[in-house]
Amino acid sequence: MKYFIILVSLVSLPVVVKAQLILPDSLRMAFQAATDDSVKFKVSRAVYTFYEETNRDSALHYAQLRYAIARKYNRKIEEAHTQGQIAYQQIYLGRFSEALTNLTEAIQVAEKSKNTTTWELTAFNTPGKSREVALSMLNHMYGHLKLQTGSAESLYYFKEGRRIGLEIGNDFRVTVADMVLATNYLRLDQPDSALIYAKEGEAFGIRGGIPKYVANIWYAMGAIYLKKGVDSLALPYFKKSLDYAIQEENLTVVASVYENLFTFYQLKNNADSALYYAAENISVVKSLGAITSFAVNEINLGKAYQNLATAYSLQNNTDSTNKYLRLSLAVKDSLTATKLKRLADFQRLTLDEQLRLQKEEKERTAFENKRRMYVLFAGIVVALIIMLLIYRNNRQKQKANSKLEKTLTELKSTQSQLIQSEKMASLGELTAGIAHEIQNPLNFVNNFSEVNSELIDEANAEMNKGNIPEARNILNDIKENEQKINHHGKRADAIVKGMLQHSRSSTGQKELININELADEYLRLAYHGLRARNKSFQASFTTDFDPSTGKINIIPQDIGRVLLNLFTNAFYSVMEKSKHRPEDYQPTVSVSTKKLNNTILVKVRDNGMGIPNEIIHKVFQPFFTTKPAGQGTGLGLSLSYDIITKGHGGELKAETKEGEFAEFTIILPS
Amino acid sequence: MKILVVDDEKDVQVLFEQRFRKEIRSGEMEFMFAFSGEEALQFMQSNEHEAVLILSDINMPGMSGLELLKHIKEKYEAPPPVVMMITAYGDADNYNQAMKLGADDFLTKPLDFTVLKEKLKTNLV
Repeated sequence: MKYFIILVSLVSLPVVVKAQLILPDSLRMAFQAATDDSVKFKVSRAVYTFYEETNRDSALHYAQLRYAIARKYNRKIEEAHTQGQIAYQQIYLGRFSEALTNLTEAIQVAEKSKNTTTWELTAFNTPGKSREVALSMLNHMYGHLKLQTGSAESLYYFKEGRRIGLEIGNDFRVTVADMVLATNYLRLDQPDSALIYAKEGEAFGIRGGIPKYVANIWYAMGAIYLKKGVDSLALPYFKKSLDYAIQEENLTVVASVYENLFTFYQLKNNADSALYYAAENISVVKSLGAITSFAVNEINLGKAYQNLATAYSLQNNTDSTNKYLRLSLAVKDSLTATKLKRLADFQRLTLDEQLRLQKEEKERTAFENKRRMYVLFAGIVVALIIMLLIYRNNRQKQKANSKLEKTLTELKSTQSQLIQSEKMASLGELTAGIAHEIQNPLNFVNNFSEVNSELIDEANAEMNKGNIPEARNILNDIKENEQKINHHGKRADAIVKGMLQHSRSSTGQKELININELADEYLRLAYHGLRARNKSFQASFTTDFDPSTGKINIIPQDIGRVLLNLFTNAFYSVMEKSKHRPEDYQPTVSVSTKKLNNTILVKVRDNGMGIPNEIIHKVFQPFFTTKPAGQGTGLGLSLSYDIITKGHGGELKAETKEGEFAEFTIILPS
Repeated sequence: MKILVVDDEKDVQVLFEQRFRKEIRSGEMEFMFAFSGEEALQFMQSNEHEAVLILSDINMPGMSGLELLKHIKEKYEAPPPVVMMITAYGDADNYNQAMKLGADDFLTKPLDFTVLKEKLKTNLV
């Protein structure tokens, strides 16, 4: 009963099956009025769309017209797009070879083109993604070509077109792809997959405002539900689709819905209804006229006749059945013959195309190999150049290195010369002191020997007097004096030896030395050295030796050099100060030793000028001197520092207050 | 006559005792020794006016001979002892400074003991 009601409602709809293929006046006039090419291009799109599924020859004509305009203005995106439209029409006209050529060209054009704005910024086009829109469309068309030439790859291309459409958010391209995919999965007897795409397509189509394709999807959904055996869902979709198609006078959809309704009632064994829709279908298909396609999923006169024959057989009307079967076969035969011939052409073309592609591939490979060779060669050349550069660099470095080594050797020899000259300079400072220091023992030697000479005379006189005890006393004195002579002779000897030792390079041999004696000796040498050379020199010196220091293990000539340097500096400093403050100033240099835990401290302090804060950190640097040019080598404290720290593992510290004092402390391990 | 000899060289004592043994033996001269300026001052404080003649080295550690001279001439007024300075450095500067501070004589090393004896004997008169 339900079916009946639906049937009545369907039948009661005004079915317009008349002269539907005449272009609406509005469009025709708009097209004629268009003088500007870009306007003509846009208007002709509407005309193309009008004929797209209903009159393929007209559609092809307008597609070609559009293609010509695009070429004329070198609009690459438009060119690719319209060529795709040409191909689409050719596919459904069975002109597969031409369609393939056009599609191949169009894809190349689209891929090379930039994403320029097209003339056709409609809801179907995504701004700034025109290239992707064209590629999506061309993939879709390629899918159609594959579908109609019996290749299973068609689904891949439809999906590829869908993927691109989805990526750029183009609802139109997704909807169209979903529609085709749904139809084809149904044809392949996979209603579940078909349903998924149909539902997707319905959603995208409604969202994108594309009712034309939604209507197609609706009858496809009806067919899908029919296949799945859900009749209750199938009929409402057929009705929705038919309502829209009649309202919009979309005859292809009307024909398709009728065909589906025929199938529905045939399955339900409703002979009257089946016959009704088969007949209606034939009438609409005939009115479509031009569409007498043999294409898969396409409205097909042969199939329509066959359906009508089946409907009559349900009515047990044998005559009519046979009549329409004959008509059906006649149409099919002619179409099949054409189709076979065209498919053969197409396959030859694809074979040629394959051969051409293989050749191209070979050429490409050869070119690639050549290119690789060149690249390799260039690489080798570059590597050689780099190696050469590295080699040259290396050579230069080696040269520089040998130069550096030479300079280093020179520097080392200069350094040792400088050290030697520093020694000789300090020896110069010593000479006068040494002379003075030798003078003293020599005086004693001379005096005691003179005294002895007198005493010997006296002893003789006493012996002559027979005063033996007195003579013996005198002899004892002589002996005592002799010892003094010997002592002072040795003292002079030691001083000379010390001087020689000082000028010689260090033996590096550590000896157990009484540091107090060493400090005292060098203090005197320094003092008398200065005193002898500088007549105006007046300074006092004090000593404070800690007797518990004992003997320590040091290199005597090295430590002597350090002490001499410190004393000389101290005396120099007090001298300089006394030049400026002659009145109440008492120039004083003092030396003290102290045993502290496991170390021996030797302090040399003067109340001279002190060292300014700005240069205190520099005093141990080599060649740093405050003396006028030519008077100091600037090596004294630097060498002293090295001797104490490196040579003896000790420390050398300076403490000072500018204008008041300077105190240098040698800290040696005991 | 009491003579104070100030020198940091200790052997000076033996030398003087030998050189002046006849004078010492005869009691003509009496020698006392100090080995630094400080020691000399100490000696003079404890044995006031005993020494009438002081022979002092100039270059000594601590208090120098000139400082000692200055002290003596400032402190011991009536009658100040005779002070003879002895030094290895007989330059004009040194001499002038000693004289300015009131030295009575100025001798240079090496000492000629014959001359020294003459001078001492002259001073005794």
